[in-house]
Parts: sequence; C-alpha cells; structure tokens
Amino acid sequence: MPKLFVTTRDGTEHAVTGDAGLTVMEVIRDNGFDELLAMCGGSCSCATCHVYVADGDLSRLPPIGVDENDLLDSSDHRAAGSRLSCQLSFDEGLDGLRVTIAPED
Amino acid sequence: MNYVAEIVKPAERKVTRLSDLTDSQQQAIRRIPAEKDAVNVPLAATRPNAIFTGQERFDAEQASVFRRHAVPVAVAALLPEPGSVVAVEAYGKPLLVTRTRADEVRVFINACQHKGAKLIEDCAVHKQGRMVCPYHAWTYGLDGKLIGVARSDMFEGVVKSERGLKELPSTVWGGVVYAQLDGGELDVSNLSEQIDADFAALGIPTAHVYGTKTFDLKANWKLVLEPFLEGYHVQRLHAASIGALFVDAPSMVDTFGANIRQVSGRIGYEPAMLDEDAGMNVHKLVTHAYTAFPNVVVVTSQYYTSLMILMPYGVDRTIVHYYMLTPGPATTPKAEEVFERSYELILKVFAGEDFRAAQISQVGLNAGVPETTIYCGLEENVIRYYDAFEALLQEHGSNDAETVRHHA
Repeated sequence: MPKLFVTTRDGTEHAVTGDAGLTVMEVIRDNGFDELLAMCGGSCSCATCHVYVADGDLSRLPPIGVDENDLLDSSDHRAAGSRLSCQLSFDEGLDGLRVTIAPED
Repeated sequence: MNYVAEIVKPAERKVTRLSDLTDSQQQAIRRIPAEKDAVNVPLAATRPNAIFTGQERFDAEQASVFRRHAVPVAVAALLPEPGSVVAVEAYGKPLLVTRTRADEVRVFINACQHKGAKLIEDCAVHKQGRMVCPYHAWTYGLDGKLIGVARSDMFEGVVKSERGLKELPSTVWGGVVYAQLDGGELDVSNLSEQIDADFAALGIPTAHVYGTKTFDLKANWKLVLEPFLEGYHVQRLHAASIGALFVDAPSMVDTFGANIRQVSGRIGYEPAMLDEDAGMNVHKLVTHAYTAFPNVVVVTSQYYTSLMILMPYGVDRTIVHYYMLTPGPATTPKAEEVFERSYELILKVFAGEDFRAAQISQVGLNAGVPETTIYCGLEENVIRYYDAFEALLQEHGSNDAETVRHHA
C-alpha cells in the first residue's frame, strides 16, 4: 500500500498507509486525524480539507480545477502548495507524498 | 494576514479629550452654562396615546421610515478584523454582517440559496474566510459569492454565479452598519454628516465591543427611546443609582434633521473646568447623548460609551441591541474591573430602570390612559425628535400623523 506522510497542526509528522483508489482526504480521515474536517464529505464544496503539499511533490499532482481554485481563494491561509485533499486521488504514483494540514479558517 | 489592519489602526486612545472632538461638538460644550446659571423654560406639548398603541401608526412608521430608509443593524466594531462575520437578527430578518478581506463591510440575508438554511446559527463573531452551510455544505465567501456546491455534478443548469447570497445595500455611518431592509437602493438621506463625524470623534468606529446584550421589551420603541431624550426622569427614576450624579440642567441641543445631539455638564460643572487640563477626559465633565436616525441611542460615560439600536417588532414590542464600547480591550486587571463593574451597573440602570419605565408606561397606555402624553420643559427634546420624525411620516404620503393629531 502506498505511504503518506501527514504533518498535523501540532507539527508532528505521522507515516500512514492508505488503499489506492481513496482520496488523500479519505486516507487522512480514515487514519483518525479528526482535525481535518472535510465537512462536505469530499465533493469539493467546503475547503475544510485544505493541506499543503511539500514542494518536491507538487509536480506529481493533477492540475488545480476551477472550483478547487475558487475554494482555496477563500482561505486566509492559501500558500504555494495549497490543495484540497479531496481532489487528490491516492495511488502508487503518490507513494511517499508529504502533506501538512492547513490551519483552520 | 491582518497586517494591513494593524497598520491602519489609529493609535489607541485611553480617554476622549476636548481636542479629540469635532469643532461642532466643542462649540456645543462651550455653550453649557455653569450649573448655578442654568435656566429651564416651561413647555406645553402633548402627543396622542395612539402613537404608542395604534397599529396604523406603527404600520406608517414601518412603511415610511424603517422599510424606506437604511436602518442600523449592528456596530461595525463587532468586526474589527478583515475576514470575519457575525449573524444578527435585525427587525425580524436573519442577517450576516461580514468584513471581507478587502476590509469592506457587507450585509447579506443569512440564508443558503439552496434551501434557505441559516449559514451561521449562533451570535458569536467568527474569524473565517468562508461560510459553509450546515445542511448540504454549500460554501460562500464573505463577499457573498457561492464558491462551492457539494456534488455539483448532480445539479442540472445551476450556475454558481447566479446563486450568491442575497445582499442588502449597506453602508457604515459613524461606526454603525446601516442596511436597506427592502433590498432597494440605499437611502441615507436622513443620516447626518455631522453625526458621522461626531461618532468618529467619540471613537465609535474604532472602539472595542466589551459586551453586548439583547433585550426583548414589551413596549413601543418610542417609549424605550424617550428616557434617552430627556433629563426630567434622571433624578427620579434613577434616584437609587446614578441620579445623584446629574442635575436638572438643560442640555445644549443641536438637531441635524431627525438626529439629535445633547450635551450637558455633570454635577458642579463650571465652564472654566474645560481648560484646566488639555489632557483631561472630557467625559468627566460632560455627558453626550445622541439619537441618530432613526433609532440609535449613544450615551457617553467616563470610560465607555453605550450604543443601543431600538428595533421595533410590533406596536408594543421592541428588541434592543445594547453594546458597551471601550477604547480598547482592558490591558490591566484594574481596567478589566472598571469595565466589568461599569457593564453590570449600566445594564442594571438601563434594564432595571429605563426599560422598566417604558414597559410599565406601555401597560397604562394600552389601557387608554392617558389619552395624551404630556411633556414639560425638561422633555423638550422628545418633542423636537417627534416633530422631525413625524415630518418624515407626512413627507412620505402617510396621513397617519395628521390623523392622530386630529384625534388629539
């Protein structure tokens, strides 16, 4: 199973695994990180699954969609690596991805 | 992220000095005679019972004033930082007041454009960049733009740009957020530039909201307003609380359309006191009381300012939003203690004395007594305000004020 590194808001990095086919949001939530709210259930409508993807991983990601871009714009904490984790399909291609849960808006 | 806001925030004031006030405010204060030289003049004036008890009059006020002109819904100081929002119920409407990241104050109906659900259910101030509907997680920006629809692929023909929050035209006037409740063009024709400048000089736009409380009163809004327009009751109704701090001296009054500024000397006032110390807290010497169009009351105290919005909900029902404003948050335990004590005292005085007076008067008026209320020389401002307010009722084609006068 591909590996995911999640840094929580207290700054701790955790290594977890997730089934290919889930989204990064689902992998984070299924591993018990409740601080990622994902209020809309993963349908790109609430921006509460905001993460920062590590610089070195950005080139591995699909481009940002229009809706995702609008939602990220509504965050006070948007940065260069900002993505909505519900829009990232987790698979072998993302093995070893490093993400940090963004501050709550 | 609050970088800009911190830079533009003016230096924190501790007290208001005479020199902080507008020229017009200073001139009014200079006109206050010494307590011993004050002269009061008798007056004969009445109003018909029906202005407090009649449904027709209430409807006319709603049509000609409260739904025709921009009305106050909140104080802007509730939202000191860009990127914040608060839900307010005003005049029966659920509203959202936001301060966008561009530092603009906006007013929206607190209702999702999907099924109408309230986006924010509590009355706390939220520092957040967006609002997510609790029902189906539709998400809006603080500018009202719809930015996220859950499972948007399941909607046919829904265009996000057409489903933004319903906005009410609004403006900030003297630190008070005014909105046009009927959603039509913003009408600020009765708001006064002088009041805007005076309130800025009093620090209302940049104040800290120390506390806020809502009162649901069984009284016509004008009965709630009257004690803040006259000094006659002060030594009587407030005998056990603050009455001893004031005398029956006339206020210096200036009217700006249907807006009234009163300023009076505190007990033992002498004009020479004004120039004894340029750094002195001017509100140790004088008290300002304003009625800003149509239903905002501002009363100054030494260390804080009370601001109230008296929202009419029915002939004999008024919801009052009270705000205690301080120059900033308490920075020392002593300041906190002063603020806390002041908050308790002022709520005790307003709620237990002024609002109580309004409610017990409503009971009698509802029983038809008196047929006309009567006003003396210490209550002249009430009549000044009613004259200006009733002129608006007539100007807008309502013959109601005329009718009730004839009945009297």
